[in-house]
Amino acid sequence: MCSACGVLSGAPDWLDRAGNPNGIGTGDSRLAERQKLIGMVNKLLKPSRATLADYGEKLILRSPTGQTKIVDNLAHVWLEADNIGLRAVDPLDEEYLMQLI
Amino acid sequence: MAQTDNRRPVTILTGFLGSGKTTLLQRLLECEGGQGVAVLINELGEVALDHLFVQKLTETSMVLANGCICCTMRSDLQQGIRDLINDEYRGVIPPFNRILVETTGLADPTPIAQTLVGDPLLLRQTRLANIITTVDALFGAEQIETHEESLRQAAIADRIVLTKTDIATPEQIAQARAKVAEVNPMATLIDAHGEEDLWKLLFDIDPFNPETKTEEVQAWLENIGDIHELGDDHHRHDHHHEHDHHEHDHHDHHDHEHDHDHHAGEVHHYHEDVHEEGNDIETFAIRTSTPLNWTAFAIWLSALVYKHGQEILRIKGLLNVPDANGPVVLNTVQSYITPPTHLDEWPDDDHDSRIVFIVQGLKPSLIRTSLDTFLALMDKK
Repeated sequence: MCSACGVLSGAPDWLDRAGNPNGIGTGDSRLAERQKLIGMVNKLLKPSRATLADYGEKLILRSPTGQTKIVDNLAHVWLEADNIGLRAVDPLDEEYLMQLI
Repeated sequence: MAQTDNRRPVTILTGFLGSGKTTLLQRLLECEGGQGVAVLINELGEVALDHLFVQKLTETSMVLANGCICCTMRSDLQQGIRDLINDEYRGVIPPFNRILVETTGLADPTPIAQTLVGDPLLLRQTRLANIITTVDALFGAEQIETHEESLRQAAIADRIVLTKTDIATPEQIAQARAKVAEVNPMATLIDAHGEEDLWKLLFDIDPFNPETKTEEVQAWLENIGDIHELGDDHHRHDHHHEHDHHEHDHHDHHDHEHDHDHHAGEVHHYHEDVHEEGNDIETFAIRTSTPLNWTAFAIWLSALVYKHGQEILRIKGLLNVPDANGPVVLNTVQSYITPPTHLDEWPDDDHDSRIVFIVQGLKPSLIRTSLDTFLALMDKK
């Protein structure tokens, strides 16, 4: 297990619940907020040509080669993206950031 | 509304060799609240000397043998805590309401914190309560300068207890205080020989407990000092540090070459463009008056700590998110993000988002740019 364990298993759902259960967020419905979340992640995955979609209570990550991974929550998306060899979403990779602009 | 957290709080007690950890531990255990503390002591070497010094705790103490608690040893720590809980359940040891883990003087406390928050089973029963670091008033400043472990111990702390202030000179104490404030301005600095109740100072305000969050946040804000405006990469601060590396006007140094010797204890506030190639610990803060899009921020933070959790010692923040009356409080230890909590009201009239970072080997300017980019991306069609 890597140092990300804390996020992956320690606080797995606060991010998915960022939609508003504790008054955090914009006041949108949970569903609307979840769609925003997925939309934002898709923008981040664009350089790797992968996509993320809602899959009931879970999420489904698709690589450009058709590989799919079902992920429990958003925190696991980064790990699974790594696992299937996608270009990492690295917020401190300047080249990656340039691709987002 | 904040919910009561009934999990057992775990405190990490760390500090460099000879900095007074065990003395502090003994004092704490003699306090009234200390009666309910179960202690895990980690010993470097085969003879667990410190354990002998804390004999009165034998029943609820456990020695983690074979060296430092670190990544490779964390199963021992996990097992140690589980054993304590099991032994209590079976009536082998008296009931306890707090667990205190004393590290070795050479331990990097960050993997220990990771261990505590990375085990889903442990997280059901325990929670990281605070990280206490002892710093020796006699030699602490020098140790932080020269020993990586000492530096990281100070940088990650929620509370720093300045020890040996009864025998240090006023100059030594001032030097140690300045160094600690430089490394970790968010930590509450406590004089081990002060007149106030040590237990109260260390434990009454729990930095990870939503019920005491407001007081904790107020303490952070008092110590943050100057802050960099998000989206404005000009250094607008004019504060001066006692450390001679900081006694210059940072406005003039964006393009300059510096030839400072790099020590373990170098800490740079806000003039990151100068030293960002090194492996130094940097403390810096970001401020923005624009309400933060929570979705974009949360995703950014998640990706940041996933990829760079090892290099991020602490992030603490008070966030202004749209349509919320009060701020959202953020507190991370490496890649562990405490579930953000929502305060009912702001602690003061300043309603800007303020985020403080303590990082190692990361470029503060890049962190700011990255956050800017993510926030802008959210609005991009």
